[in-house]
Amino acid sequence: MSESRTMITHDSEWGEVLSRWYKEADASSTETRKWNYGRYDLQNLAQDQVIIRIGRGSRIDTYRGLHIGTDEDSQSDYTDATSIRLIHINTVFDLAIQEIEKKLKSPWEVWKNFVDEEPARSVAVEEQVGDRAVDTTTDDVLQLTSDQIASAILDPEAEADMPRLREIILIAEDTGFTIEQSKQLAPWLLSFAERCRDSGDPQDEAAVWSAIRTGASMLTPDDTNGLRSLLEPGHSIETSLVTVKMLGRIFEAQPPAEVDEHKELANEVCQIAKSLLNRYAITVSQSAAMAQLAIYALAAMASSETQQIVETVQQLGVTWFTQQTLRELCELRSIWSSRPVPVADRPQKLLDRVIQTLE
Amino acid sequence: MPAIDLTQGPRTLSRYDVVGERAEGQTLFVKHVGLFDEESQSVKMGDEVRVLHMGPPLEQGTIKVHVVGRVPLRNDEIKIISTWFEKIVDEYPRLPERQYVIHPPWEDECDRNTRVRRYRRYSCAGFVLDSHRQVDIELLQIDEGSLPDVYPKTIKLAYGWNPGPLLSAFGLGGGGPWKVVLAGYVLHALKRPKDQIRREPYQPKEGDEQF
Repeated sequence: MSESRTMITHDSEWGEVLSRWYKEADASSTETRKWNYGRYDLQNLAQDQVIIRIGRGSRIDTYRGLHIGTDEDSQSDYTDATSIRLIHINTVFDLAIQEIEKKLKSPWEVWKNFVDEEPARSVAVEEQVGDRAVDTTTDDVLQLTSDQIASAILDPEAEADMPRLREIILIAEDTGFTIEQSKQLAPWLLSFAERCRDSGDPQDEAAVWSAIRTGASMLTPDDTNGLRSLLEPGHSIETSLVTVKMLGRIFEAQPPAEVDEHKELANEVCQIAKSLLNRYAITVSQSAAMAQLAIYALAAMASSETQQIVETVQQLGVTWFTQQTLRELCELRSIWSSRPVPVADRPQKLLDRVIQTLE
Repeated sequence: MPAIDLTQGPRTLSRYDVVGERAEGQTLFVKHVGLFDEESQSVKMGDEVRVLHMGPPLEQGTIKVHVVGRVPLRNDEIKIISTWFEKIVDEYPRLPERQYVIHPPWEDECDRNTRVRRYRRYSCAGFVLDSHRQVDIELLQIDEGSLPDVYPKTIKLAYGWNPGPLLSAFGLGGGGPWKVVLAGYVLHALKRPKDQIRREPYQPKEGDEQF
């Protein structure tokens, strides 16, 4: 059985690039091979049927192909090779199917699983994969401008089509918006996260986290009180870790002018840190991560509580945890010192002091 | 154990040791690296092993292991890397292409106005390098002056596709050559005495894409 190598490229914006190798397979075989962004399974059911499953991250797209014959194939219902219709295909599969055709030296009519659905290039498609449904991304969403993304998110009817909204929220995280757009988007995204964290739909998780990251990244320090409700624990989609992380990043990029400028918010973050700073909790990686993110956020917002918190860290005597906390606070100091405008004196001194405590 | 080729025989790996996969048909070209994501386990040439890696996507997945290397990491350092991963893992349920970059080996996506970080894109080598930076181990010199030129032919081997305009989406503009961090460099960085690995980053040289 010889092995052949096939390369396919496509010059779309994000280059749906497919590169894979496959073996010359027997008609009844199933093979699983890796391609650049995941795996695909190619299963030849019979001479005129094929199933291809293309995995991209957590998504698996399933397609069926049916041999439609050629002009020379008098047994086929489809005698006109030009009648090949490629319906409802995304770019990757388009490329993949070209390769199947090359390999089998005949045209194939393909349609997405499940066969009877309408072609839908403009909306997200919800597919059943195993026991859970997943969103797939449609080409049109990848082509949207920042204006179109902002409008689509802010559309009062947006939540009527949750699969599409979820994917637009993810795309928004890669998009640069104007200050005016951000002013509208940030509260909407944070409110979406708050509403959807109890939806009970696990598919909302990625969009909720992304909405928090994008929404929070647009905030100035004066707007950060809007994040308080997202620090609340006990929701089916956990939002506190990503929110604490973003608080740290907001103040790392936009340092406060004075110590304790954000006292109420700092108190809540401090509660999180205190609740997790014990030797039992930090043996669990996620709790340790949360505790360190909270300490980072407190230091970045120049909360005077930070000093007491790092003293608790010292008292714990867990060397790796102390080292990691120290390392991250030193990184914050390095980020602040690389700013063109120096950080205000008192926040800087507070940070220097807490670092010294841990050294 | 320094970095080795598993044709020399099976090796016992520990969590977050570096594992590499060679390009098919290319005996020595390392096309991918990740972090071994199991407790201590013996592996042999071609075994499929669990890894933490930037595929893309960034995931706990599997690769076929052909080459391995280790610092080695202490237990405390393993805890630090696990904790670091918990801090970033929420950032990767997204389109694989959107979390990937070839050059530089990692790059932060930030809000255009506030410069607040949203998430970090990685190459496969970049993810391994950044994980080791969490425990203050700089495996490689990655400033452009220290890296050898990488030509389109090599990119084609590494990624399996023809260099073209689409490369700019992953940070490679123009027709090359580029100063790209390749997976094989990481293995060469680990093929040094332990104290040297911890003390100073390795300066990759031409030909280090093979291991």
